[in-house]
Amino acid sequence: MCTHNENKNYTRRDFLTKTSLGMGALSMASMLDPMGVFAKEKPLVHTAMEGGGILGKPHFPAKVKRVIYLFQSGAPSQLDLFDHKPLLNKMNGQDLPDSVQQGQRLTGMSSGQASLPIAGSIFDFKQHGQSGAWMSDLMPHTAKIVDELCFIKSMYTEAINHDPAVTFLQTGSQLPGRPSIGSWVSYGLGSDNKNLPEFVVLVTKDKYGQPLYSRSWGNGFLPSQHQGVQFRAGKDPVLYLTNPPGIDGNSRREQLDHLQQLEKLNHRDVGDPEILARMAQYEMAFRMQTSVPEIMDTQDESDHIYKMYGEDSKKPGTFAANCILARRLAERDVKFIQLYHQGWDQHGNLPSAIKVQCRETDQATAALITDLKQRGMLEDTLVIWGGEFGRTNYSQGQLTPDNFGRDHHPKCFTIFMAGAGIKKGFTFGATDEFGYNVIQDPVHVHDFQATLMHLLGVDHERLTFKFQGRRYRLTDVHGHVVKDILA
Amino acid sequence: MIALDFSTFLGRFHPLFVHLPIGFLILAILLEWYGNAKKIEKKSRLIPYAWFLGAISAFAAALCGWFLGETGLYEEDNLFVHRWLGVALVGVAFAGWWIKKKPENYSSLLQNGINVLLLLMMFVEGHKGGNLTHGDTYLTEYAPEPIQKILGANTGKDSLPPLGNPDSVVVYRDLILPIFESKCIGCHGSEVQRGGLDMGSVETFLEGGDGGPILASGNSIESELFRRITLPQRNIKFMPPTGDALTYDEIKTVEWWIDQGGSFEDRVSAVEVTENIKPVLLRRYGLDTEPKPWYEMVSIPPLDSLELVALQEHGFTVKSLGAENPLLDVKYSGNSLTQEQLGQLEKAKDHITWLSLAGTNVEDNWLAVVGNFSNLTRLQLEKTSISDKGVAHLSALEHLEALNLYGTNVTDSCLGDLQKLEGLKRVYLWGTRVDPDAAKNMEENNEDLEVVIGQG
Repeated sequence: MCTHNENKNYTRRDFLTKTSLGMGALSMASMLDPMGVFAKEKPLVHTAMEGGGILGKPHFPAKVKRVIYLFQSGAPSQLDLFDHKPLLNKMNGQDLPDSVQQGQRLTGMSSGQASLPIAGSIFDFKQHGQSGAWMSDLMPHTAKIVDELCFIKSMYTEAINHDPAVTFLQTGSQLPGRPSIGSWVSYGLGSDNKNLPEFVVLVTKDKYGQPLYSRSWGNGFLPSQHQGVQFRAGKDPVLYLTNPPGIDGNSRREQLDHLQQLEKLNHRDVGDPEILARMAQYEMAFRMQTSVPEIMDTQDESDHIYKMYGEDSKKPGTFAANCILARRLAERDVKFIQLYHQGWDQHGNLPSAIKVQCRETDQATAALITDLKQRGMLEDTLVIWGGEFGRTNYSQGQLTPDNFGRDHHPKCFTIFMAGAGIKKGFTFGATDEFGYNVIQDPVHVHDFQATLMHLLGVDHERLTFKFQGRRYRLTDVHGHVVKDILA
Repeated sequence: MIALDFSTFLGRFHPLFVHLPIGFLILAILLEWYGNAKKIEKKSRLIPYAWFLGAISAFAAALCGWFLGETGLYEEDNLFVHRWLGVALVGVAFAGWWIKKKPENYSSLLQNGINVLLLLMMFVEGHKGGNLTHGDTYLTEYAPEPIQKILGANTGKDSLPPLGNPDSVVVYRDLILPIFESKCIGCHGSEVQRGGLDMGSVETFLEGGDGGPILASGNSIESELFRRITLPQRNIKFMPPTGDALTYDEIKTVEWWIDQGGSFEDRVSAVEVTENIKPVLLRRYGLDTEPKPWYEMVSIPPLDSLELVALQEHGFTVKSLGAENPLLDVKYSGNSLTQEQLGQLEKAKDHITWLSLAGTNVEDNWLAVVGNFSNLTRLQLEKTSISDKGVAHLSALEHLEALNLYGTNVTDSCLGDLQKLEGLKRVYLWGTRVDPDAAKNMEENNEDLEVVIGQG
């Protein structure tokens, strides 16, 4: 259905309202500033120069030119990785006091449990680096680079189940339909490399657990050329990109040129902006026919790079291989690169399952950050690692000495970042001794999003899109930049 | 004391009485002129009555005014004029009454002369009185701009001149002295020294007043100056006794200045900017004391947009740093760069703050032009065939913060040139022929410099 107000056919009434007001406004403007009726600058030149983003230029100098977001879908247990709570070990097996839970809602998966036994982490925590950041032995590689990292231990969200929480973190709303962060970035700031999309998504293959919908990287109501483009492992990294048998590049070009002429007529006729979006995508696809194979062909990576990222990195589609791809995309100025790694949803058998997850991600994450650093790319690249919420401090299901599970916990979770514009070797925010509630410097999902946009040079309150009669933004009417983590 | 209190009590009737003679006397003069204009032979009998009432009330006003002036709450210079002009006005008013009683005895020239004289005196006197009570700028403060210009009034209102960077702002001269000038020096300056205090010059300031020094450097609580401006306002010793008290921001600024040693020369960048003064300096003076990168501090006019387009046409990707930032982020991709092309950037040499020639065919001697880019803060030369000779061209880049040389042909001998770059904070030497130990050594000798040499 067509809901863009640009597409609305004007009625006689609309015409009279708009033109009468418009004439008034025009004459008013010319009275105030007689030169104003003539265009002053040449905005077209500017927009083209600035890569086609709607903002033209960033609101202020951007510390971050591109983002690699390592999304850990399913919600990693902060209590077994970063948020060290010795009290939980001391009180292991005791019922979670009501004074801590404060009647807050639990999911249907554990609200019916007769008791909520506190589960201390069975993993060893140590302080690492000069910054003394706490990490468990689950992530030995990441532990070595903590002095590059900025931990936020006081993240909290409003959603308690995966899809709303992922949607909330990625789009600023729990309900589907809003543009994702990468789409906003693409819409606002445009492209630094016209041969590749501004927003690329890489999903680790053969990982399951919770649903992961492509709308997490969808464009919502923004023009559809701003949606994330998923690169897949294997023969066809981007689906339907290659020419059919018997068609070569020239005839494809010719076909596109003619199609463009037809679509221009079509657009003039019905005025649907999606026609332009589609044409932009056709053109992008054409350019990607040469740029994508070049990106995906990792033969020029040296052996010690593979060694650094781990054995997995030679197998296309793994998290480690995607990390190398992410770096290659970043090197080619793709603005927003989002990786998804599923499988962190450990309601039961947490100790064994989380080890698998960490083995798949730890080394490559650390290698990616180290690699970006040695190439000087942390100067203007930001890496984010985190899930959609946290996990409970009590066990879901039976607690045994070597096994337990943790339920969804929106009240606190930990993410970390590395790179441009933020403090290094820094930990922000804190949770209570039970690792249940945030007690210091809470960072809401919208605050995180506002901060991310700020780093990209965008005032999150000034990047808006009018849809269904009102202006929307990523953070809607919320969000404060977390100034304390900015370098 | 009681007598003084009582006279002050009487003095405060001054504003009450002071408006009566204005009304009476203007009424009298208007009546007379009305009669003249209508050519009425017989002058109104009300005229001498009005003059008499005017003179009497002027006397009452002057008497109260005298007492009020004695309280010492008014600025001496203006008070002197106001006081004696007031006394003279009482005299003129009585003289006028005398003349108007028997108008036929005096020439019409004298009659009108005394009217005009009195009106003039009253205007001046009234204005002086108003200024004493409300301050010099009361009348002009909200006047339309052309009128302010004619009157030569200070159009500044409360906006202060924008200050530059913390390293160019002298705490005393730029932040403290303006406060003293607006609130203190009227009574404690070179002309008037109430309490023997002259804050007009540093020497006399340090001498203090009759009660001794007013400044205890490094200790605001012990400083008489600070005590006086923070007393309860009703305290007789509260300063300033009239006019506006110091605002919260002003008090905080003075407190910070004293606590940081009360230096008369130090710049903002030389003293510790405490957390609680930061927002004050930002709000009141627009002085951002958070450390900022060089590219956010440069203020030059933006490059002409035609020049920008020309650079684009030479194959460069050119971006503005931000909407209100004049500097540019320039990049070249590919390996068909020529020395001539690179030379085109000379036209934007002050505007380019980030430059990437990574992965291009740039050659050592081409970099001579880059060495002139005065505001360059980030330079990417990675994955090129640049050698030590190229790095040598860069040694004048005093604001260069990050230099990426990974994957180039540089060797240990470039380290000497790198050390000449005073502003350099990060240099990337992975995949070069620089010896890791030499790099480590350089890093240890320079605590502000991070040398990234990478792995493998």
